[in-house]
Amino acid sequence: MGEWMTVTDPHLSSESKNICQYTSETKMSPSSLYSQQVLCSSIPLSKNVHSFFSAFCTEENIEQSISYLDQELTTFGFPSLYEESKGKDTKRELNIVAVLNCMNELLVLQRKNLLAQENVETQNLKLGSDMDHLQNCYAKLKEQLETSRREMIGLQERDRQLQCKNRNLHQLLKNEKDEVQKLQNIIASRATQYNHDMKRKEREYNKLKERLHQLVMNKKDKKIAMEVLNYVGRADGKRGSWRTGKTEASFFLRNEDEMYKILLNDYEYRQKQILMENAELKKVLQQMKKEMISLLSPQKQKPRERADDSTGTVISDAEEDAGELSRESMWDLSCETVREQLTNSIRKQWRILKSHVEKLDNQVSKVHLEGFNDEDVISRQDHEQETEKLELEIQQCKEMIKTQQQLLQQLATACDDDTTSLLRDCYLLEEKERLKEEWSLFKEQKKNFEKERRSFTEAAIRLGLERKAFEEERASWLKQQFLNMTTFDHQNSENMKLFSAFSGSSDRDSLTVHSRPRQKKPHGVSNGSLVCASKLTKSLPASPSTSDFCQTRSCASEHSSISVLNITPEETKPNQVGGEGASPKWSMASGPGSQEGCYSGCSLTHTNSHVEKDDLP
Amino acid sequence: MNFSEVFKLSSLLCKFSPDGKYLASCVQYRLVVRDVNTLQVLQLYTCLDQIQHAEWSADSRFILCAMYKRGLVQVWSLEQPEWHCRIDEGSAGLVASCWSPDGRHILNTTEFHLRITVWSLCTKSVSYIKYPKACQQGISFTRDGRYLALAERRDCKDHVSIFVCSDWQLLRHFDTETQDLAGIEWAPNGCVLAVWDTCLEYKVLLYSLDGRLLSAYCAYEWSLGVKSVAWSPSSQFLAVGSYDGKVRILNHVTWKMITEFGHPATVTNPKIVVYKEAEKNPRLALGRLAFPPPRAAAGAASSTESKYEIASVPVSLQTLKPVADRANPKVGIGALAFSPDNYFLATRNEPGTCRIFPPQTASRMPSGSGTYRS
Repeated sequence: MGEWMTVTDPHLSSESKNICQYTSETKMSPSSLYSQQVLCSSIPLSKNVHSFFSAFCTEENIEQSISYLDQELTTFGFPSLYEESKGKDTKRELNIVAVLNCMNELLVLQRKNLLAQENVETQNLKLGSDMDHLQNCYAKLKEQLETSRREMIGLQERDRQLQCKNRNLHQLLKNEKDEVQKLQNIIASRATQYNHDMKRKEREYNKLKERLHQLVMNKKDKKIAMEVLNYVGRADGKRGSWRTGKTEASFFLRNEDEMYKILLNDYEYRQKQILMENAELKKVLQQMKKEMISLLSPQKQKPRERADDSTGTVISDAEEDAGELSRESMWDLSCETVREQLTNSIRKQWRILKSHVEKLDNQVSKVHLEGFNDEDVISRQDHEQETEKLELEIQQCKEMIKTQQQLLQQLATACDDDTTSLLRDCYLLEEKERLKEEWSLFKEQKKNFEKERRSFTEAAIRLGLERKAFEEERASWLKQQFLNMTTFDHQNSENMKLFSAFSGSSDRDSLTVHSRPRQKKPHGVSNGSLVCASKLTKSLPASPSTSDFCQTRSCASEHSSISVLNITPEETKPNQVGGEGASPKWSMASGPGSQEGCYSGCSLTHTNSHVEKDDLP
Repeated sequence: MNFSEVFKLSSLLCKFSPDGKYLASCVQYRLVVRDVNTLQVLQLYTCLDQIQHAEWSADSRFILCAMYKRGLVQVWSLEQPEWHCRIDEGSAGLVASCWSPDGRHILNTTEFHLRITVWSLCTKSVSYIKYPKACQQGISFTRDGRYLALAERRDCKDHVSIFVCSDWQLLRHFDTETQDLAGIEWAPNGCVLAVWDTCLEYKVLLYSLDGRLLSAYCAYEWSLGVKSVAWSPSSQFLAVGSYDGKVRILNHVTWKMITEFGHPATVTNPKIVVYKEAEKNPRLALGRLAFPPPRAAAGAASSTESKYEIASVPVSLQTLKPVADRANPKVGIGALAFSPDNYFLATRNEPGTCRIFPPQTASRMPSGSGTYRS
């Protein structure tokens, strides 16, 4: 629609100044212009409106204002305010309905506009705050940007400095390297120079040497000689050989041969040594392998129940290795394959052994923690049983010791005087009583012995008497015989005398036997017996101790046995009746006898003698 | 230890005969031969000049006396005292003289090492060997006396010639890869020749009897190298002592180092027995060896008594820092010796310590007993 043009009405000019101002200042769209005007017009609603309302239409210009309004409204699209004209000339009547409608429409429009205005205002506020916020952000970001820019510049500066340093250092390094290189070059060049100089000097020296050598050789100094009294034989005693042209070459070849022989010998020797060493080492390895296999195999037996993979492989490995062993022993050469086999098998065995040992270690550790392993449980049970047994034994021993200690204590301390006196000899009581018994026995025996002795002596006396009588008888008998005989022979008078002396002596001896007990040489059996009897009588008065008594009894018994022996053969002669009975008893008495034997024999003989004596006439 | 009376000796020339029966000692121009057991003088020979070198022949029947100043060598016989032999080098001069292993040839090195003259005592022949090298150990005989290895220098290169001692024929001649050969030595089995370079370069070369290079060994570069070399009696090991104070042992199969022994300045291992030489009397003159002087061969000037006492571990050994700007510094392994039964290795470390290493412990830490002089 273009600019809001003032309605050419001078009356409205003052009021439309505002509008003019607005229009002149800003070139806005009509809608905005219109809204502005609405705004400014809506705000000061109270006063100006009234004035404005009154200013527009007065009573004079009603028709004009109506026509104006109608124009405006129709331009805005509202229906006309006039009624439909019947003719052109007549004045149009105001259509009230249309007016009211227009007013309503205008009010509605007004409200809409107000709403829109509100909305727009709020939006405006929002936008304003957004704007503020954005401006703040913008300001902050600007600051940040500034600071970061400054930082960056700083870092760049540092970077630059470091790079400078780096470059400097590189430069230095290069310089040093160059210097080193230079020095090395110098050294190398110097070395070459020195070498060259050395060589030159050496050549010179060699030349001098040559010259000198020539001079020396040429001079053929008489002085240069060897003066020997006589040439010495060679060290090995051989003679030197002629040196001809042929032999020169042969010498050379021979030397070569010898040299090579020596070398070959040395190599062969060394190779032998190495082979020996190899063989020994191989042996050792094989032994090791065998031992490892044997180590592993008995242990395989037990855990065969637990189907482990490793044991299965071990068994199979053992079998394999056994086969391998035999194979290797067959091929006891140092060929590659055998060597490899050996080393591989040993490595395998070692690995198995290692794994086995590790397993055992694990088992041990497991047992420490849990203790469910069969083998170890069994052993532990055994172990516990044994410990229990040992403990019981210990207890028993201790108890025994205690009781013994108690007993000892009782013995040692708890004793009264009576009991002590009684107990003092309690250990010896038995022995004492035994001794007493024995004493009594001994005394009885002694008595018996005494009795027997007495009887024996009486018997001996009687015997002696009887012997005397017998002797006398015999002597007389012999006398008679000799007298009968010697009527023929006087020469035997000496014999008679002897005999008479013999018989007389015997008589004398028998007479003197009691008065003077003298030891005489036994002139025969009878004297011996008489002497024995005298001995007996001599021994009897002595008071013997038990032992002496026994001894003398023994000797007496012996003697008596002897005497009885001596007697009885004579006695048995006349007494042949009791001889048979006595002989077995004599044999008893004559046997190698102890005291008792003799004693018993004695007693028996005594009784026998008693008996026999009774028998004797 | 009991010592006999002191006998006069000059120039430390005192040698036992190879068969051990006689002892030869030199006093000025006289050669005295004594019986070993009784020390009675058996023979007395008079030479024409002061003796600089005396040597027994291998069969103990002859002694040579070399007089370098006059260029004379006189040979004396033990069995026939009236036998005499005189070798006059005349204008050629004499620098060194030695016996050949068969005891019937004398090798004289003339002045400036111009040549080696081989004089024969059995025949009238004379052999000449040209241009031997003037080095520390340029001549080496094999133990069985068959071959002679000689270091030579021709055309500014080192060569080695091998001669057959029976007829002095040249067997092999080859050049070595050394800068400046310092020494050669045969292995006791006579099949390998060890050649080592000057101390400026560590290089040990091993040649076979027929001249082939078997192996080369170099432990390190740039520092001073080999100082001493020794073969083990079984020819299985070669001990190389160097200026860095270490002994390296090579084995005869691969000619590579199997072990090395260090000589640290402090001894801390309690298994090591340390003998310390304590002197009773102050020395009048310093000897060079760390061992007590052998019986009747004491240096003329030294009359000290010393004994060995056991020092308790840890022991710190005295070390001398050698002067850096002098040649031949007194550091490193100066001498090596294997025991005859192949069991021990004795080393002399400058200054003044001797260590003994058993090869059994080569795989473990090297241990050994050591003696040192404070």
